[in-house]
Amino acid sequence: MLVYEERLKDSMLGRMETRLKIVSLLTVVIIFVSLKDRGLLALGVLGLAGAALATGIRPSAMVKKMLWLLPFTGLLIVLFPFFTPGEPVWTLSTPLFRLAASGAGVTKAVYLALRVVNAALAVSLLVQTTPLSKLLHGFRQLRLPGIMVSLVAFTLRYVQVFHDEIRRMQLAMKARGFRRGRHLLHRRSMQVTGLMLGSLFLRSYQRGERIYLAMLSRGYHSDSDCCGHCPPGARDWLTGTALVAFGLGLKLAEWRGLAIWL
Amino acid sequence: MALIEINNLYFRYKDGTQALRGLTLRIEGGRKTAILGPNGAGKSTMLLHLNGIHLAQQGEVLFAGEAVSRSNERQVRSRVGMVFQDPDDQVFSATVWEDVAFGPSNMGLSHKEIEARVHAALKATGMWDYAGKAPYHLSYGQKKRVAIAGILAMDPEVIILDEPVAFLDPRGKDTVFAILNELNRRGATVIIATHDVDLAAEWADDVIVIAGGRCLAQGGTELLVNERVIREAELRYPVVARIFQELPELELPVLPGNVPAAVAALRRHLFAVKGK
Ligand SMILES: Nc1ncnc2c1ncn2[C@@H]1O[C@H](COP(=O)(O)OP(=O)(O)O)[C@@H](O)[C@H]1O
Ligand SMILES: [Mg+2]
Repeated sequence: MLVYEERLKDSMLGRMETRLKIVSLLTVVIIFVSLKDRGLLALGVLGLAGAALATGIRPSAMVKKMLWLLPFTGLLIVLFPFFTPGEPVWTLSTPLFRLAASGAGVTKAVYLALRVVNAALAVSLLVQTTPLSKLLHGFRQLRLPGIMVSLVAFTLRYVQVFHDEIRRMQLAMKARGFRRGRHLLHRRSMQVTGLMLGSLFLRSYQRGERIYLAMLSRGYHSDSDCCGHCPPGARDWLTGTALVAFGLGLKLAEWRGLAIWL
Repeated sequence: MALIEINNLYFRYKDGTQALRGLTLRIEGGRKTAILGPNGAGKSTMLLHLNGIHLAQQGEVLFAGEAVSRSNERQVRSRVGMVFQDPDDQVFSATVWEDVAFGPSNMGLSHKEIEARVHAALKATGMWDYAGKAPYHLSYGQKKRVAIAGILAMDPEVIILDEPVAFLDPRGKDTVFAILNELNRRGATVIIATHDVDLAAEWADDVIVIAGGRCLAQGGTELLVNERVIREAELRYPVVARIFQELPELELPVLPGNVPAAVAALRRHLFAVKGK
């Protein structure tokens, strides 16, 4: 899940000053998204994945997180080749219809996939190495509008609430002998899952409200999430510079046309 | 003047449920007060008024002589801490440490001060060794202690606990009450809401009985052996009292409601027998 992990505290990124971390990761993502070369984009993914590994995020956890993205962008990526006009590179023929994947579409899909993975890696690097309170404080110090910071705060908190609620419901269902069907179209599984989702939203809504009350009673107000202020040190600047330099290096390579061989 | 005064308070939830109907009570500072009443009596609703989560719709809630209102709710919240019934509603951060730091950072304290307070609160509740753990891996009793630590770290004058020992095992209950008694000894006002008559009889200095959104009676623990109060509030006698109800031959003028009272009554009786 997208939450801070205490064990990453002593990693390079875990120790980095928050504002600098946010800015340098954001810069890297922006640079990557602007890359027009597939090879360089892929190199960027490798670079960030390498950084995640060096930080101590397990590869299996990384892959899992990417799977979470599938429902949102996976469909788009799969459909792109078929809906983008261009030279067909592959056709699916059935008696009823013919589907042609265009070369331009495939390229577009690959770009989208690489960019999404890049952004996801950067976000998980940031969120997993930064305690929530520090992260929000960092956003505030960077003068992000209060309402946006609150949105981030509640989203991250409620992701956890949702997750907990799902865990409890699944456990209770298992305890009464429910087993998920082996395939997605298993009728009873679908029914039960639908019911579960419905009550999940209701329960999470109610719990969310109680949590909000409990937060208020501990003095929460939209401009809180505030604690001390310490400026970045030499080591922070070094890490930040290394990150941004990696991004800039790729951009430079693209600009000077050094990437033809990739 | 009592520390907390509630006068003729009415409160209706959005769905139309009238939870409080003219509640009037006072709570003295520096004491241990139990709010007693059956489920649905309005205890939780009343408590949420004490630190300004709900504001009076009709009537008034006075804290230290001042009406709790939109303009001073934040200040009141830093002086009155509330531990919710379900620790899962209160404890939501990724680590225990971060969760306990939530209140103090809302108060705008310095980083150093926050660290000191979190340390003290986790030590006082015996949860220091779990500081780096994710709360959802903890047992229910441990989560409850984290929830209490989260309030202790704000160093409030008044600490309110809604059903503090519901679902706790005997050991967990003892731990919670040891923490509460220590707080009270150091001068904090402790208020708990409960439907457990035995608990109130053993622990409280003052008892307030609520039913149907109104205050039925207010006084010492002797209220808990008062036949009218027990009946009207749909409570039952404390176990200790029920034992003595079965022994009319002792001819006690009042039923003892808790262990010290029972011991005193028995001693008196035994000496009287010996004297004959
Ligand atoms: N959020 C809410 N919305 C609507 N009704 C509520 C809500 N919370 C409590 N109630 C109702 O208000 C009454 C008093 O509830 P509560 O204060 O929780 O009682 P107690 O804590 O003494 O068990 C009950 O009838 C309850 O159903
Ligand atoms: Mg209640």
